[in-house]
Amino acid sequence: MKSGLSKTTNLKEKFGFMEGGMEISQLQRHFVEQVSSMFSKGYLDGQFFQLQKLQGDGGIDFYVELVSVFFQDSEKLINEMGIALDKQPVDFKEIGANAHQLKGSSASMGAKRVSKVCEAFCSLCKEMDKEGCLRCFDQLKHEFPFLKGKVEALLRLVQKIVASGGAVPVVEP
Amino acid sequence: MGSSSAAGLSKEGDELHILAVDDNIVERLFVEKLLKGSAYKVTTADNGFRALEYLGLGDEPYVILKSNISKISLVITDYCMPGMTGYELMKKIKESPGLKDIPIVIMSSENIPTRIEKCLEEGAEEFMLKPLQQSDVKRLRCHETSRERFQENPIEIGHKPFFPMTNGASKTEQN
Repeated sequence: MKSGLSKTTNLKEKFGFMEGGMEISQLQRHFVEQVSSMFSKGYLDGQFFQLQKLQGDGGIDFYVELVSVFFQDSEKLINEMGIALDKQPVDFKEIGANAHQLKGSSASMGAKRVSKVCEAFCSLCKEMDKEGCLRCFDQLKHEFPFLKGKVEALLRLVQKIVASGGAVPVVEP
Repeated sequence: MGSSSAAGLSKEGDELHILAVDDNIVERLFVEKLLKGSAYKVTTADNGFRALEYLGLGDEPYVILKSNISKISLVITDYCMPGMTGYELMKKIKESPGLKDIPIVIMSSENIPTRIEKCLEEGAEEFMLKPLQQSDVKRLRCHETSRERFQENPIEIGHKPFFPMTNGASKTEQN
């Protein structure tokens, strides 16, 4: 009899569960796993956690806008770095300026690895080390698309969670 | 940038208006969101010249738009900007009789003690390391409140020259 009563009171929960509640929690779990992995591998840092907390009532829109501006701007900067590297002689000042910009913007996004590569890039530009710069640029051209792919996948996951009526978990590093 | 955050106003019921200056588009957007999320009205500028124009300082340093004085409660600026650094911007604002009391906060991604000292000595309220956190934004409110006191009491403004000039000494803590 008691279990019958508890079944009734839990109907809403159970109903929600059957309606796709399971799907939401799976999505949420997947999101937590993905973000945690990015933290533990050093792709993202505490700043990403700050950004998650900032969403608040504004929901995911703020983050989506910030991310899209970041990717657009970063791609432009990376292109310009490539052009400056191809110049004869190499335009270290230009590359350094772009690397400095990218360092700052990726740090704001919590993109720790990209930011670290840019920091190294800035030093190499100051030293006018062409070989070092070329290596660093290659690293950047690998790190950045990887990060972009991961973040875009996270955003798709977030959009699914929100569309299913679920809350986006805030993941701590 | 006229839209204001709905997340509550200050106790006085006035929305505090911040001018945020940063040449980096992503960082500018981030700071804007961060500030709006704490119920500030925000105007952004992507360089020092535009910031000065907004404050009415433009090419004629002694023409002060009175309306803009009461508008801006605080200026927060990046240090490293091409053309005019945040430090240079601060100096220009401080040189203006009508605007020298506006609290100015300088931000930088680099933790360089001599840079920080230089800024504080020149009159920066605070030097903040980027990326900014919500706790940094909360601290901005106490800088603005002290300015409002000057605005509300014109007699105090008249007495200001009697205060010690070295206002940087008390602000040596880094965040």
